[in-house]
Amino acid sequence: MTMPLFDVSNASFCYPGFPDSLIDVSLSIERGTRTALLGANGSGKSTLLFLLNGLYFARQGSVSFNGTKLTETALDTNAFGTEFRKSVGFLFQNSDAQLFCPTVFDELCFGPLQMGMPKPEIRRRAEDTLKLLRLEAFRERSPQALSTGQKKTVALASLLTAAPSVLLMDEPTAGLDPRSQALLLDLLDALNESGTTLVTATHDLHLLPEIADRAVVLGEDHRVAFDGPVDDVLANEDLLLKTNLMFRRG
Amino acid sequence: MNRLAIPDWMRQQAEFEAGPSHRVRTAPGVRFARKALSSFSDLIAEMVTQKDSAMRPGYLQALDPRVKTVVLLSLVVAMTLVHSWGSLLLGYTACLALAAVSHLPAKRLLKVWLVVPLFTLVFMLPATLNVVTDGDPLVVLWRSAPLGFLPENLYVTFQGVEIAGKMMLRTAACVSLALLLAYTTRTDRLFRGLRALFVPSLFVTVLIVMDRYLAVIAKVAEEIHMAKLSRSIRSRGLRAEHEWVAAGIGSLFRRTQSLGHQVYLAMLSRGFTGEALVIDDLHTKPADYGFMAVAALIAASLVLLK
Repeated sequence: MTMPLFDVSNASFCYPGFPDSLIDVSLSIERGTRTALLGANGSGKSTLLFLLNGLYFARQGSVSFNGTKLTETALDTNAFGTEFRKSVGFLFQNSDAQLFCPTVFDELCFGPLQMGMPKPEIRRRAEDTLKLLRLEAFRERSPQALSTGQKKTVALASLLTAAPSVLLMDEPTAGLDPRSQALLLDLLDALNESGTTLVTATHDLHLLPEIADRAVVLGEDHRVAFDGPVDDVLANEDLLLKTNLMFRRG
Repeated sequence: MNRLAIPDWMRQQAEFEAGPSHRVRTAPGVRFARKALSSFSDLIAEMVTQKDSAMRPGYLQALDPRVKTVVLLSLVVAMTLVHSWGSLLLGYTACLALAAVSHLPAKRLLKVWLVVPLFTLVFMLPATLNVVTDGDPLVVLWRSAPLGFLPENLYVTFQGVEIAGKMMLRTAACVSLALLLAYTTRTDRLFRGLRALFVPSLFVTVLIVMDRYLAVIAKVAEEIHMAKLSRSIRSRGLRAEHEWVAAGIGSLFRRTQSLGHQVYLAMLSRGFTGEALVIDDLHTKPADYGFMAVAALIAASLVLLK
């Protein structure tokens, strides 16, 4: 039996001074799969992504990557920390938080530079990614001066230059116009076909079959309410109503 | 049919009263508070402008940031050492020439060049009087028989005006040099320039994060101000406005704390380890050596010119 890429075991988490955000969550994510984290606002989807990216650490239980538990000590270890950051890209829900370089081009170079990649290779990757995501016109623009959708695209592009084997994405389609959404979906398909593991937090049921094969539904009680194929989730109206992913008027 | 029963008062929308209305006078203090808050949006625009001008082609923009930082800061030191009118005018003229060949936005620079000297002059006004700087009378302001603690004569002296004038010119030149550095150097390269001056990495990292947080705070402050304006019907007086400003500052820090933390997490997530790295390799070119030579010549002339 092969080791799962991510193994979340009975993980609980709460922000200081706040009620629990995640309670007793267990799941595993295999390499090359497409997983959606579904749930209403405040159910803990984003928090789970932060745990998977080793930015927060479980108060109880554990989160492992490739068999190594994600702890501050493990990530401070140069070899594992660098390898983990190289392998796992995280698209934040708030692009304003993610973009901090003076230009779009610098933004695309930031990750690979930190990872010690050779500069000619970084430039080549940045140029390719600008072209791929149709961002050439914004090359020298300040990311802060872009629209919400453009910022989101630049944020994604800044992850792609490091060629991560895992992409954690928090509401990646939010704020994108239909054409940009289509481009993103095509891109995610191509990445997944080449072996990239995709984990997407969303409450957009409309796009769910396009971005995932498996869905992990978090209930408003911050526990896993369902874990199974996307089609089963979409067919389970009671589950969707109970977890506030769908409503009936009146 | 609408299934949600809304209260009656919600059905009675306020009518828009067109036509001449009485004029509401806003207290000067309130206007000042509003002006101060609205200047946050100017700050955001200025931050973007500063970044744009640093990327515009120009003489100073093309120089190695390490050379530029060292040279311009050395010129600031040289300017503080000079005393003659000739040196001060030469230094100031050099700043103007550098701004011109670097294609800096004249409007913004003019604002600074006009405001800073005037501000300095106001501070230096007491130094022009004979009670502070003794000397030959230029304008007599007061002449009387001895009366208590008041001086017998109060006048503006030639020597006092000279000191104030030189101070004003020196300040203008030093501020101009600092502006030239800030407006022609992208922040990431400016930080590398500081590293070249052996500023510790930890200190530079704090500056990098502060630079990013400043933009975040300014943006949130602008949003709070806009939200307030959109819901303001009439002025509530200076005291209420002061209370609102205090509450706004508290709210601003609560909101930015979370966003600021996310910025830090995003940097960590992308492998940031505390060192400012940029894609461009920094090479010292012949133009940089030329700039150093000319700057050294100017600095020597400034100090030696009597």
